[in-house]
Amino acid sequence: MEQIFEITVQDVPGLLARVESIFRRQRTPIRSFFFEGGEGRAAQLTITAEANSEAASLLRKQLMRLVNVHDVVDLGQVSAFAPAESSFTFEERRA
Amino acid sequence: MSARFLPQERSRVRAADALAAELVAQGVTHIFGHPGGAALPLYDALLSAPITHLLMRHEQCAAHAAQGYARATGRPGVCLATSGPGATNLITGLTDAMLDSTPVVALTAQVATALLGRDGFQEADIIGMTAPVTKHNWLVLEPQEVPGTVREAFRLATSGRPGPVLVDVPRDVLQAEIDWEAGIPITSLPPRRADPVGLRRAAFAISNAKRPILYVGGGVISSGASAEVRRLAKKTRIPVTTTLMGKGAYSDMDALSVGMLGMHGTAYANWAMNGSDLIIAVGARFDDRITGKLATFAPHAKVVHIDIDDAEIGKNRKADYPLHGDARSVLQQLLPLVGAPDTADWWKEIEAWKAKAPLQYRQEGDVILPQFAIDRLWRLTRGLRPIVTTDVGQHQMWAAQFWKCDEPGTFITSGGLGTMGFGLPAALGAQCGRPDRLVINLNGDGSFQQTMQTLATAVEHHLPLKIIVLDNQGLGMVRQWQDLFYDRRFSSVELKNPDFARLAEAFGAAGFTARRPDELDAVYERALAVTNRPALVHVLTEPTENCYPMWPAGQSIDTMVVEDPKYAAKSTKKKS
Repeated sequence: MEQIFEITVQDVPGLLARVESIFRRQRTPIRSFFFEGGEGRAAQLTITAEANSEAASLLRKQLMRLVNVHDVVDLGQVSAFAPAESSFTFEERRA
Repeated sequence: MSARFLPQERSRVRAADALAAELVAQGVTHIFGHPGGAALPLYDALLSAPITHLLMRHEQCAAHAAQGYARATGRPGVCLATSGPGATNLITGLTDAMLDSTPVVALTAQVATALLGRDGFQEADIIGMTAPVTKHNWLVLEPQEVPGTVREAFRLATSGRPGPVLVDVPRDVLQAEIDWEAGIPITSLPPRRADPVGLRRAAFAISNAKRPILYVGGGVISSGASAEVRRLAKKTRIPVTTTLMGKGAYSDMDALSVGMLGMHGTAYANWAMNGSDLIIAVGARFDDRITGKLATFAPHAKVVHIDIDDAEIGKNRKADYPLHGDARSVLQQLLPLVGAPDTADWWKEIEAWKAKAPLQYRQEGDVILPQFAIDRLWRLTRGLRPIVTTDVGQHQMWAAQFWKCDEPGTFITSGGLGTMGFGLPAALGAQCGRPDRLVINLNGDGSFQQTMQTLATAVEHHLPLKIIVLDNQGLGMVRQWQDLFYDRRFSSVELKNPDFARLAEAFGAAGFTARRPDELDAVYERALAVTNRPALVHVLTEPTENCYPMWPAGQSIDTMVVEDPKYAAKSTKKKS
């Protein structure tokens, strides 16, 4: 099950490593990753990861503990954006 | 050499001087550290600061000493190391502080900016290495930002859920001159309160529970909520169990206490937890050493979970009544809302469990049992209100069982990480923070040898620590697991030990040895009489004694073995 996280961050060197290490410790594979940074300013990081809702909730709380993370919005499961009967994977829909 | 002075109010100074002035402004009295090339500017600046620097013989000891200081005083401990190996040696202590939520500020020097990323001499990416084991860390590249970053580091270490932070400063940045002015003290945010609707629901659940239990962790000590826990327990007559980290948060000797729970906790605390219908967790995190197999843990219990760290709530055990907030504030909010549930029948059951499986040991014969050695010292010193630190292993669990506490911050141990080598440096730190108190380090022969060089620092500063080395000639806890779960195939657990009393003497400390149960008290008395230097008591103990109660890791609490099977057949009993 894929989950989308929209993370508002302050872009500082090493930020991505800190965020990634939280996913790694929870053994949550990151499927896609979008980031447009700019040193020192607020930026948006969008991550799609393989996680059920329970794991997603823990990830969100652990991400919120990072000093450079301002907000985490868990946009829910990817399938919520597709028609109910759809069996498309996220990659297929992107393509 | 020209005399330097700490900058006053506003001046042009080296960043290192500003850093030292900031430490003074933060109320730092002691720093535990070890110098080296990159740290030279900082060590130079420290000469002018009214701060005692304790020269540790290994940076791991520095980190543990800072932890001991923090746990004994409630104020952040500070450790300091140079770049490269100095910094990497801190990592074990930082990880320990992270797991036990201890406020520690680590300062590390870094190679000069021009060498960063070029594998310069003694360069280590300490930011990358410690990011997962600190609340946050900073590499400061702008000299002007040094004092502000240090100020922010202290704020972060002590706010919310306390923990370690690290500030890494390159040598040239420390050396650079900046315009400095005394900073405005950072005002901390008011403690977080719980949501009122959740509070009312939790209060209703508590007031109507049949078999409730208060499960008290280290968070109660961090937030200073002991008095509130006591008021809640007295008001509701709910039994109280503490975790290893929570020891001291609630008196072990109180009638409502069922002692420590967990893998080596009292059988009745575990039975009460497992049989409860409502667990009120305060500043505790349902660690695997508490729950055993999660799927079978406390199957009929609902959970009220009070924690300052939202990420702990529901992490291991689902919380039916999550209360995210500071333990003290939340309990203050909760207290007027709760009524006393009827726990009379529940108490009858608990009293029966207590009678059935009391904590006990049997001191028979000429060989000292480790439990007896701990129990005797507790009885001898209880009037002196000592602070005790332990190391890790069997002796730690026996200390948790037989060393009764009734004051927060008086039982200092490595809980989450289980770091051998923690106890002696932590005792040194605790003694620096609380010079008025008797500080005792209960240690094992294996763990003592991991950081025993700390004796040199303790001697240098005339610290009257009491160090008890319970010597069972081996790594007792590992041996116990090999005994029980690996067919008694003992692998690398025997230790050929030095004469610890003579070793202590060689360091300049006082050394004593106790070999028989009947000489123990007299030897302890002699060690307690030493006032101007550390005193070590080498206690030769029974090598094969195992620690019970116990359940195998990952198994359900039902599998708990309450008493050492070797005693089961014997009829003679000596109650502790």
